[in-house]
Amino acid sequence: MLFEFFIVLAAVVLSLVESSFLSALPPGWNFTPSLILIIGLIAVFRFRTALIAAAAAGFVADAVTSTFVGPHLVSALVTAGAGWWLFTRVFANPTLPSFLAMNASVFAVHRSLAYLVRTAGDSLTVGAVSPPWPSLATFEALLLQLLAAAAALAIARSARRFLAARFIFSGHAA
Amino acid sequence: MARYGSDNRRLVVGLAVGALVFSALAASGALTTISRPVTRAFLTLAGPLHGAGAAMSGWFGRLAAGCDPEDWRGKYEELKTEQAKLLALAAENASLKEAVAYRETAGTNVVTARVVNESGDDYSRAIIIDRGSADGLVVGQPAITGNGIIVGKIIDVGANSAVIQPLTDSRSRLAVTVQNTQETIGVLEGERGLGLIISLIPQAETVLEGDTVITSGLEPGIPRGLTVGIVGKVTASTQDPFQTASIQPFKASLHPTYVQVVRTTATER
Repeated sequence: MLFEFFIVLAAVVLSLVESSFLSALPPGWNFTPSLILIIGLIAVFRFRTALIAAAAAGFVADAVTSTFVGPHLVSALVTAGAGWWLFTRVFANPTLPSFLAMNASVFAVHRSLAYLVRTAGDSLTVGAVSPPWPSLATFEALLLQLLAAAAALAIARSARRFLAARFIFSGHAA
Repeated sequence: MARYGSDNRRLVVGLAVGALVFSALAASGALTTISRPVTRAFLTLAGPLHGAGAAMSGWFGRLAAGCDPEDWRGKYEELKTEQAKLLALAAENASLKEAVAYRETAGTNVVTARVVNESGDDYSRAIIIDRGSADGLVVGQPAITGNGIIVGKIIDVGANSAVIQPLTDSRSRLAVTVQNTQETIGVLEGERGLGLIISLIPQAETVLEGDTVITSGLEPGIPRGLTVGIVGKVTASTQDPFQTASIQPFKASLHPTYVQVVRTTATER
């Protein structure tokens, strides 16, 4: 339960950073760190926690960016579902390339949903036409997403190694 | 494994249905009392983050602009072109204003003409204007600029154009008066397109540096009082019965954009 709490907290923080800080940067910097967390959880077979994290991230994104709650929440949950489907059917082999490929695929799904949501929102509200998708900025963001995913994986592995070493050391001391 | 998958499916469906219901309630405004404080709390946190992002975005923008020297070069050239155009327009405007002012004081006996070309070398220069005999211009009429500064005399006239010989041309001659106590008269000559001199000034005349030189009115077709220049250096020798004064022409007379030709009547000529 404590683990879930920390994961939700992390999802909230990441979503907050994503929706406020990264969204203010040029479009090429709009990668989605909350997705990396969700995919990471899926990759370690914690699908429920991933769904909860997706719900929390979507809720925060809606609270910060929309006038009403909904689109981001639904798209985050659908993305998590798509991630789980990809993990069980396509990228079942837990290697770095498959992890990165899954990140790229889920990022594409997430961006497509976001584009649909934005286009629908624009047509309902101001009648504006959204810019074409995918744009060059999307690919820049994808590159950043993959770099961040690789970095996150490296950090996670180092942390696990460090904790394991500490555990073994304290075990010997005992 | 099958149980695990089934549980997950149930969870997905439950969350999706819950999210849709939640969204519908929020969209209808039923959750306003709850969602408003929550939204406000998140926005309080998001505000500084967004500000930091916007500041960083601005920095990226400046960095991108600063990284491309070609961009800056292009902008610099564009601005320089604009500046040149503005300066030319300002000079033209000032010249026309002066011409209008002179026309008002001299009456209507002047024709304003635009300089269409300046040709020749330092020894022999010519200014071509866009008015000619059709406008009443004849050979020998003076062309002036600004408030009565003489530029030269017409030496050739076409139907719609005329050639002015500037005073600095080596072949140019003009009867002038120095505005000193003795009202010294003399003949102004061009000096290889660079300057002006008055030679053959008797030693008895006192010509000082800074005296103004004007047209004397002794020459047919050239009215008295047109400004020529200022006395620069006066050269006098004890063995020479005459002294020579170099005259500094006014800057406005060297490369005018507009000139006015003073139309003299037949009797004046």
